[in-house]
Amino acid sequence: MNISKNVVPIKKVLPKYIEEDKCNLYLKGLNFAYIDSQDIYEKSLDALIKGNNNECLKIMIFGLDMDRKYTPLLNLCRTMLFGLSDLLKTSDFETCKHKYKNFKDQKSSLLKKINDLNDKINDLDNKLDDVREKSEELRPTSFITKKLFLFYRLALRKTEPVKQEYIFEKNNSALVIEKLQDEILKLDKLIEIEEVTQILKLIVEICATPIRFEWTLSNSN
Amino acid sequence: MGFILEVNIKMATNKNDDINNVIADENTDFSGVSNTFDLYTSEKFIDPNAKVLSKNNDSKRESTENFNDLKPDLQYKILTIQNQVSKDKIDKLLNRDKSEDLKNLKSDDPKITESEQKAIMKNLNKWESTKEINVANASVVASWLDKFSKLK
Repeated sequence: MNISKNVVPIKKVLPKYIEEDKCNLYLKGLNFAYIDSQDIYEKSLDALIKGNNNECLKIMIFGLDMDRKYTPLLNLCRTMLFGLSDLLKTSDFETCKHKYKNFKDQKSSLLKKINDLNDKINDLDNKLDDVREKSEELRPTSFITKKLFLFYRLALRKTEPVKQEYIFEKNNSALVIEKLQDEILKLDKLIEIEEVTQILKLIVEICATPIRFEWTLSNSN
Repeated sequence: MGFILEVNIKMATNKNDDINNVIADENTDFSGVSNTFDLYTSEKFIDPNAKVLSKNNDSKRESTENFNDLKPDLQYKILTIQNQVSKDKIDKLLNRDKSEDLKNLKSDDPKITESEQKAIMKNLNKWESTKEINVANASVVASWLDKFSKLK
């Protein structure tokens, strides 16, 4: 395929701006037959309808690198970016961004908290087992008198508040974990939104002002 | 990983390209296309349908920008979406505030010059297809945003 002098392939620019792992998500693994630009546009649109963002962007990048003048695809890209920009202004994205500063760091910190709480739950489980075992040791055997059975009941009553406290703490920790997991899901979504916006911005900028990205061609083989 | 078929389909970047001949001629080696693909993806082009498609002369067509020329199943999906998504959301996407374009792009590159800003604006405004395709795009994007924006 001949690439005109003015066309800077998106696939060449992306690796300069995005980490390799992320970049591969949008550049590798395409597997389809295509007929023309319209076919690629249809595939991209279909992927978007299915909510498959990565696939949609992957096909879009491929299509725009093949034919930079096919306006339905350019229009789709622009509409996605500006729609997303509007959404970010109106949703609680900005609030979250302000609150978390960096989504990825925040996610790591939440995951650490969850790990700590899981350790705490394990610890509480062990403590509960210990209390139960100790109580069981006091349980009178069949040939022992009723008096000893009374001691056993008293001991049980004594340990009951301790047991309840452990159980309460355990349940509390489980609830906190649930909340943190919800927050992580929210963060994952925000990370995804941020990433898709970043890719779309790059695509739009490369297509609109390729000259700004020509340096990537001279640096690559 | 399945079987590898030679790609017998060529990208028609220009409406004047004779796509019909390309598809009909099974013996033509379109290594340029498969090379491009392999370079692009660093993976072998594997498509079990490629051979079938190449034999199928019904797939001949030219790139157009008419809604009615889209695949019927895609047309159906888009029409269904248009019935589900609020018209206001579609209109908002269609009639965007152009003065916000640069803010929305807000390049991280502080060196962006005024002439480059003008070029961006000028080019963005050119990215208009036919009205029906623009509406189709806006509808699909509005529906996607609805789903995508749900934080949970």
